[in-house]
Amino acid sequence: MRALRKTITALGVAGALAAAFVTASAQPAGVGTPQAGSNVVQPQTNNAGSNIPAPEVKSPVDKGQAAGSAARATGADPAATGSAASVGSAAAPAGSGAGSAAATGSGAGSAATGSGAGSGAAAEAPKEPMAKVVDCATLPVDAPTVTTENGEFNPPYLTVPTDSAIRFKLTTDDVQPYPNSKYPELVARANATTCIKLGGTNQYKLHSGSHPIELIVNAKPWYDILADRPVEPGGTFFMPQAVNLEAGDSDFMFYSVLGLSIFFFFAIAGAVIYLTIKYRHRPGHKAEPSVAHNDTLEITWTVIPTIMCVFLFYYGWHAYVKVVTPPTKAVEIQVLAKQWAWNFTHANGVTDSDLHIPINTPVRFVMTSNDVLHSFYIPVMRIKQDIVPRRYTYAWLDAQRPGTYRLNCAEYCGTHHSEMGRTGPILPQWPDGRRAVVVVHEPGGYERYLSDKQADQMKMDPIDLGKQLYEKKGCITCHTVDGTARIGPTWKSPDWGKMIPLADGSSVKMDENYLRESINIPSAKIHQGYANQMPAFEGQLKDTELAGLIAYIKSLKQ
Amino acid sequence: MPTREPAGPVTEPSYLDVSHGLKSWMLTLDHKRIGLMYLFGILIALIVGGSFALLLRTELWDTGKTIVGQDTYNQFFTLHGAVMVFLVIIPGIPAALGNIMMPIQLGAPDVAFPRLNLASFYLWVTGAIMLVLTIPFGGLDTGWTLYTPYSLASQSAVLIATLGVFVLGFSSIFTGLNFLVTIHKFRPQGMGWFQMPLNVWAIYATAIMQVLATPVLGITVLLLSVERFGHIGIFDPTLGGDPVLFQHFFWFYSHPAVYIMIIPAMGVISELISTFSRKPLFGYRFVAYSSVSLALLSFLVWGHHMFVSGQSRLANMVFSALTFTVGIPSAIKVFNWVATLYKGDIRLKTPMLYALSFLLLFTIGGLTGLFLGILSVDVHLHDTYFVVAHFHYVMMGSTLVAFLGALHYWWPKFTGRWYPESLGKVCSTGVFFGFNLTFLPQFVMGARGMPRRYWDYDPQFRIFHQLSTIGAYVLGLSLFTTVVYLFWSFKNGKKAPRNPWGGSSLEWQAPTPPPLYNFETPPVLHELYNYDDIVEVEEDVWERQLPEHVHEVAAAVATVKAARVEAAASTDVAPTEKNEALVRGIATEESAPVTRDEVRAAVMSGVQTEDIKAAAKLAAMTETAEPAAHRNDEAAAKAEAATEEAVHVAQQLKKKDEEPKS
Repeated sequence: MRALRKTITALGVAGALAAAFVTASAQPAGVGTPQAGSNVVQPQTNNAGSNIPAPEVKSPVDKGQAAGSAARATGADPAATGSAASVGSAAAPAGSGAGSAAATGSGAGSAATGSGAGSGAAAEAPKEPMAKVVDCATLPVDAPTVTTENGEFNPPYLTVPTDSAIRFKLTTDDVQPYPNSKYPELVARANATTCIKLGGTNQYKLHSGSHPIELIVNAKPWYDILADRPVEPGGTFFMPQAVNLEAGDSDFMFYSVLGLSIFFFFAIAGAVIYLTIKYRHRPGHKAEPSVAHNDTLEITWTVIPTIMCVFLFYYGWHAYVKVVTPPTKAVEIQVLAKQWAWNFTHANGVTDSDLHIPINTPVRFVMTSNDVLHSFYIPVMRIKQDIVPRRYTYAWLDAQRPGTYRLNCAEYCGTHHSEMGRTGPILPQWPDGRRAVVVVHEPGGYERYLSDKQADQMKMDPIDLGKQLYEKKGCITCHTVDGTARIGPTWKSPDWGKMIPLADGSSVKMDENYLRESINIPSAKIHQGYANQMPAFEGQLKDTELAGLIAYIKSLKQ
Repeated sequence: MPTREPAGPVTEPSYLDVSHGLKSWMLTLDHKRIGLMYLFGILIALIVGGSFALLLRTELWDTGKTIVGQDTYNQFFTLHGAVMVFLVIIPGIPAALGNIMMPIQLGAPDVAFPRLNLASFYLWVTGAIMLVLTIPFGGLDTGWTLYTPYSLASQSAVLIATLGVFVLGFSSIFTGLNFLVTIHKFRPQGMGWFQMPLNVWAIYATAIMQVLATPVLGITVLLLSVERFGHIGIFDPTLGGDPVLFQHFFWFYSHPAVYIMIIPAMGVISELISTFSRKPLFGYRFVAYSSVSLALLSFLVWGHHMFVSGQSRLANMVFSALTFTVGIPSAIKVFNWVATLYKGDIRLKTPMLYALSFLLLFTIGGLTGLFLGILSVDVHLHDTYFVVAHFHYVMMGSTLVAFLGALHYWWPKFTGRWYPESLGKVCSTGVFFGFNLTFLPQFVMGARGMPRRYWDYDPQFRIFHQLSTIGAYVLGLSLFTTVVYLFWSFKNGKKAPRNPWGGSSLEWQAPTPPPLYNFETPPVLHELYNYDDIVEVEEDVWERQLPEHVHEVAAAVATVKAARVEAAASTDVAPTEKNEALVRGIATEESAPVTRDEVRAAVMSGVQTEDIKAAAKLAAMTETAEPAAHRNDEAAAKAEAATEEAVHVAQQLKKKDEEPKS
């Protein structure tokens, strides 16, 4: 985690620099062989409009690291410097000393971003890719590295924290420029090491030369990368690992009853099988007379289960009280469940669709639903509580181990019940995205999450904000952005600015006002051919968020 | 040499042949025909519900979409649940098999209200059609539990479904009412409460619950319909209603409904285990009482379905404690069934295979219920596949398996045809293994935190889902084959004898298949679950054999009787019609064996106590005068006992006859 953090801050670069970089990388590289294959960085067009770089510098935490990176830049290994030289001239006109110049340039850029926040330079180049070549010397040793093997990228896709750089060590040299590439500017040469930094919350596609292969890189905030990790099942054959402080008693009861059940099952099954075999009918075999009732026996096998049940009840109740009684001092998180997403609101107003919680700290959830019943279920915490509309229910936990865990809705809530908080595609091998998860942070991680997330939310470009809300508020479960209809109309609509038919026979012009109303009070105007099914968002979205959603929808118009 | 109990020649046509044509079935008042129509409907519903199960299991073969999308999947599990619960399992044993066999087990000609019986069948048909109609009218995606507020907001055909459930509720209530009255009033003379077969006990307990609990379901779904239709705030929080109230109402019915399903199953299992072990049921009274106590306790535990719904801790504590009390009668039953096997002569016919399957599956179903009764463990397991597996072990592994056992047990009786026995054994084995393969992995999945009603799941669960799906196909194939061979054997099976299993209860005295009013001659009460006198005379043909001394008594009775009739004739006292027939029978078959029960019948039809005493004396004299080698003291004692019994019965009857007059 520390390493990621370091990467983010040390390599924070203003988007403005990218302009210079484009010019530079268009020049032929001195180091690469003449027939070297080129690799092109190309952000997805939808996301390219971000004009404010995401990272900010937090001096108190990071000043040491910034210094460190500068130091590394000067002492960079020859190969790295060499490969960077050609592209490094982007930042500084001089040819040979470019490595360190680039490093200082990026440092300056990040400083500027941290203080400026607005960035007028970037506004002049709105569609500019947020990727740029940086000096490899500034990269930490464990920075992600991409190589080529047998004409394939290795790895074929990866996710990196926003504004961290990737080291390209390309060996294949028979690659030619990708035929359809519109952005041939960003080049990583074969037989050289090039480092490219990726900004924003974007998906970048890097094309290879002669081979129709691409490398897909997601750049995301560090906390979302934590949430993207595969969930940890862990645990035994029967149960997932227990992460909650109070899960122990409950698990003890589970295993006790499991033992008891296995014992009784084998006793009864054994008796049935033994008696069936012993007294099976065969020639000459007859039933023998025996008593048909025996009160002592009956009372014995009534009393023994009764005593067992008394114990089971008592200890079960005892453990239950612990599981449902939070300590008086606990971090509080508001939970709003709706069809079909979660919305977690933290103390500083940060909202998220994934649940981020601190470790070794009691956390109390105050939960309500926006529409139908849901149920808040975290298997590793052994907690479950139904969430009822217009009423608060509560749950609490005290997480004991950092990690990413499943978060489920356990009460049937309609079409996408099994996919509450479904995100968009994460990586090609993960095309359906993932459900909402619980992230238990390392000590200190939760506080960083709260501040970073808050800062990100404040600074976000409207379209980016809209895109993020689209995924995190559950819009994605009903609306597509590719032109196909799902439960609701697609957002990639050809109807922007036109009159659209409504269910009641009238029509309305599709404009900002219509969208605003339809988000706040969806039932007011129902698009023809769709059911009145969308939950109302009135009072749940800030004005900036509404504006972001509208901006995002507008950005999709055809 | 012991002799066979004469069964009497079958002269009346069976209920299947007594009349023909569609109308004779549609308007029949015969409980067996109504039961058979129920059975037909239920088997069709079983195929429909089972098909939904296979479809949804197929969808769960892999993560994400396998064959259908979310909405279709949601309709699959909803209709699977609704069809199986309301159309198959609740009416399965009581309304179909209970209807056919319960009056015969009582020795009665029909149920108390035959027209009500027919009406309840048509209500079932109406309800079934309404449930099926939801498919063309937008489907049903609320889950069979119809939880609010989702069921109020759902775009699917909730209104039709709720009204269908409402109608089905009435069908259930009518059946229950009918059976209650039948059991109270139609028991034959001499059959007290504790001489009733345990199947009748179970149906009695079930009927109590049907009558008391089902109205709550009726009003609940009616309120739901009114709210959906008229927007009156009852359960909808946006209208000031309370969605959790619906759960209370719903489970107040639906928890007893679980026992409406399982108690009849327990009843038939008691019959099967006793008959096929050739042993009296161990602890008859405990088993009978436990049925009734389960029925009553089941009304007090509905809250355990709502441990995480937000109900108060106190309520959770009380419901948890009460839930454990339900486990105890169930445990008692299991122990008694197992004890019945001891020193028996166990015949592994198809029905017995189902009964043994039941024992194992019900044990698993019951024990896993303990996990869910424990509050802290339930918090983790609630609404996961663990619950799904648990209630399938109870509702399907127990109830449906018992239903199949009972169906095979009584099939030769009420159809007059054998099902193919070896195929039956193969299929029952298939059901057992298929079932376990389907649902054992679901326990593990559930404990690992796989929530129920999920269209998509984490890859870690894939292997369990695939095992489960394979099991479902084995199970489905076995069940489908069973239904097919049953339909086939209805017309084409080998003819079945009167008593193919050596059963001791009254239905085995009726002709196979029974005539319109079940018995040609009044059945004779023997000691229930006593198999000493019932022997297999040839394969799968059992007859009751009587000790030799009975002849002596009977002959004596006949002599005295003949003399008395003669005297009566000479003194111009007209003998009753029944008397005459009896005497004629005895006179024409003077050399034919006369049974102990005929002696009793003679007593019942008016032979004077003095006559019996004389006969007894005569018999006793014969016994003592001729201590021949083949006649031992025990036989003599038995003869004496039989005579005394006859005298006792005669006195009882006389008393009863006099009572109404005074």
